[in-house]
Amino acid sequence: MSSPWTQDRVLALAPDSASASAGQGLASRSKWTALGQSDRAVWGLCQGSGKSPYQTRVDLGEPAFKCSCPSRKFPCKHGIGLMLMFAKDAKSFATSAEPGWVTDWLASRTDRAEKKAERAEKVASGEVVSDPEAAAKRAAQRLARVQDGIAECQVWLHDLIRRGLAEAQREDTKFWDRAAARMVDAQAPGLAFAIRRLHAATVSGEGWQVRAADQIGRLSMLLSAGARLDALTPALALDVRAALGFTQSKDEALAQPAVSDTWLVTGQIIEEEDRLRARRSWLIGVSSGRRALVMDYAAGPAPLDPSLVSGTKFEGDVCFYPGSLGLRAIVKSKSALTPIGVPTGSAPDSSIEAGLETFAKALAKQPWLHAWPMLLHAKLARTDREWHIRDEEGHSLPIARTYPAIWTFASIAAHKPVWLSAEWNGEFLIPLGVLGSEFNQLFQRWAA
Amino acid sequence: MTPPASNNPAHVPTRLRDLSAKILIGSDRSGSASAPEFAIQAALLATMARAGFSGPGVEATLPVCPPETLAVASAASMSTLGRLLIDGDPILIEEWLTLAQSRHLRVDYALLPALLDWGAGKSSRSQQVIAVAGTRGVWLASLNPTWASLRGVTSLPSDPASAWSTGAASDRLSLLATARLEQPALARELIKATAKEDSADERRRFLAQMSVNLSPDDEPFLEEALNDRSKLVREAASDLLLQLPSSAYVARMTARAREAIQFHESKKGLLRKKTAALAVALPKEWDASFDRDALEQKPPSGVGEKAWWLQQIVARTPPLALFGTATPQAILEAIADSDYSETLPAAIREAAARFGAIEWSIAVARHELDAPRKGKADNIPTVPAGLSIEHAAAVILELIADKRFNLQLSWAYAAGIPRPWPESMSQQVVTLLAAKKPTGAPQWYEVGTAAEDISRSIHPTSAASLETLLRSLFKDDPPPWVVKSIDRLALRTEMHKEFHS
Repeated sequence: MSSPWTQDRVLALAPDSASASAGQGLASRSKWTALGQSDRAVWGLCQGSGKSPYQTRVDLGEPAFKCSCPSRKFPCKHGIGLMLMFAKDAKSFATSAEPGWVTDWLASRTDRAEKKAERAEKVASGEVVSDPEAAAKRAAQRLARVQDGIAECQVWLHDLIRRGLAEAQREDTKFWDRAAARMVDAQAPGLAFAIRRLHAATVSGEGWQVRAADQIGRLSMLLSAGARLDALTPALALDVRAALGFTQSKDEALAQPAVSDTWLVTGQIIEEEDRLRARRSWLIGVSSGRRALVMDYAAGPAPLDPSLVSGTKFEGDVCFYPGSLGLRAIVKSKSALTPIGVPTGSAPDSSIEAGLETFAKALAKQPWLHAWPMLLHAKLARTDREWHIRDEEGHSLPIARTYPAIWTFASIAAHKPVWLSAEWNGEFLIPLGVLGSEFNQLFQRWAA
Repeated sequence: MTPPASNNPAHVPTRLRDLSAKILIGSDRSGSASAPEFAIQAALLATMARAGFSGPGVEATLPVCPPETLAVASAASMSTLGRLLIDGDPILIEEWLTLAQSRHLRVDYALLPALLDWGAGKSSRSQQVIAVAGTRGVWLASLNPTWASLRGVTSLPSDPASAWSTGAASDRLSLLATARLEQPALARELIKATAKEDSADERRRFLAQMSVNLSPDDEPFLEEALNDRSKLVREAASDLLLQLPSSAYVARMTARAREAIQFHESKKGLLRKKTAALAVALPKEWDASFDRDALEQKPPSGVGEKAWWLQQIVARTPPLALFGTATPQAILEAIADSDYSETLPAAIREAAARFGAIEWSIAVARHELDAPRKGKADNIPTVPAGLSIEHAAAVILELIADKRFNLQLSWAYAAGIPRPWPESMSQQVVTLLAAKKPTGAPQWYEVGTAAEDISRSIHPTSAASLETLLRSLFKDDPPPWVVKSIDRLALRTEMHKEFHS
């Protein structure tokens, strides 16, 4: 069995670059004793500066780390070092019975997980509701503030259109920051986000006028919809609320019927905003054909949830947040990850034409969709200055000019057709992975 | 709200562009609609444009990449290279590439861009990078102008003369390099063909290419180059002529040196002790032939003009031809008593390295151990480049073994030895260093600085024993700069293992 663990994947877990490089220093056979593995965990003893060696153990499922060293970093350098060793040379880990200090820890983890699941079930079945009246009052207050924010943003946007984009483009960053901050104050972070996108469009180089007009259109559409939430269908109202920045309830999503399938994690992309990192993970169900978007957030140096890895697959249950499109999702349960191989035969929707058609249909339901997953069987191609993806039918899509990993992608794909997973934004394609290669994880590193 | 003027999807992108032009100047000035109307039109048109994008086929292709002929290096060694390319220690990267090349392995596709970036910086790296990049790497380099220097080996064009006379400077240099490898005489013809038009700097750089496959056949051409009006060109020619010990140039220098230096051995006094005396007659005046032979007339500050001329002449004369069978020790002692105790040993050191006189190099090095060092402690003699491996190794081992041990001086000689050092030399170095330890005489803080160099250079089979030695020297509590060296040694041991498994 080939391990889904690679050096890059392990290093991506490190909380900072110091831990990553200290971990690399510890990824040597000579630093460890009593290395062992079972089907769910790996462990080892590492001699540190203390008297007795540190006990380092990793639950491979999540993965989760535990070490007896005093470091407050998580995972610590010993955990990183142990996993780097495991990724490089799993053979030096004897397959054996788990020692007590490993089984005890794993058992305590299972306990905790069960309690959490119980609580989630109670919430879903409506057993746990803390003071519904106060909650309703808070919700009403927030809605009122957001409505005020929408009205203010309308005025701001119309004023901007009256004066013209040329004038707005000459404004300094403060102008945009101030507008965005007002929307954060109004508890409508989605509008703040839309303003930042508009700002980004005004400085996006050649063709920026059209891109900015597009962002103005999206923002005004969101504002009109947000101003009359009551008149929308319940599903669309939920979409609009999410786009305005209302948090969608995880528990509510978990209460939806789950879709059981073999899920491919076809690609991940991380966007950074201030000190917050947002990661989109794209999933495709093998038999259901469903696409799912799983969002993860991390602030500052904290690592992102390591349990989903681009280029791997799992058997499991995925629940979708309620909404008109049913795209955003949460993983309810899953098996261990295994690498995705190269698909044999053909997959539906693997032509550019089919991909664009599904995108158009999704857009009809949710017009402010700004990223859509595609799984294409196509070749890389190039005109004088630009890279494209071209399929057998002769259709093509342009790759984003600022795409940072283009040469790595070209090196792996060469002139031959590949199974490419990518994100389409209506203008440019952003390749996220090549199935059956290590490109998915490489791209992760590029994006991070 | 204005209804869309046309529902023809083909018109959407144009209409969106028109609208964005109006929004650019603002609804106040464009006058055709109000701000809210513009906003709604933008929403409609932009959504329609996105939904209606049809992926028109553009005329785009890529050249076909030929299949690979080499196997890919192991995953473990690839991840090591990946780390090295990020850290950027060129010496360790070169070591990795040499290992891969000797085992006929190539670099994995994922790392090619980083490798090509590294290789494109310096022409000295291109040959090695191309060797391990595989056909995919060369193919990739052909697509990116930044990597143009890595597009693969060139062979001579069908009409080298016209390629030479019309080519850009860098192309001409690589054409010349190829010509020297395949047809050394052709390179001479090419250089001569355009010598009148080429600048002095170009003539010098072209001449330097002659060092490949240099032979006595080249002597007439080089002797002719000594007539060049540019001193830079004459220097380049003289450097090459010095590599031909049988050349007339070396004979002229020998004759000048013999005329200036006389050496007598005699037995003196009651005990009939053997002594030697040196008689030096400095060149009387600057000769036009000195100019032609690329000697430098103006001395560096602190050196007499005529002594400086002699120093250059001796440095260009084989010691054996000058001093005959006299022992190096006797000569050096005589020099130490003379007015030339500063300048002549340096000249002999240079000549010994140049003409491969190992016993003379060793004698001068031992002499340096004795010599009272003037001024600062880092007043280390510069060792001429181009020492052969055995030559430098012999000197280093002699110096380490000497009881007046001076690590810095020993290390000065290591600069010219290609890495990694030969296996036997590496073993001897570690053994000798270990033997030094109990005496306590050497300054062990020096080891820390030298360890930086040694840990990069030593043969991997000795890396582990050097690591042990360093640890024990610092009582298992090494300072950070030594830890770096220890880690480097461990990394190198690991790297070699990864290629063996």
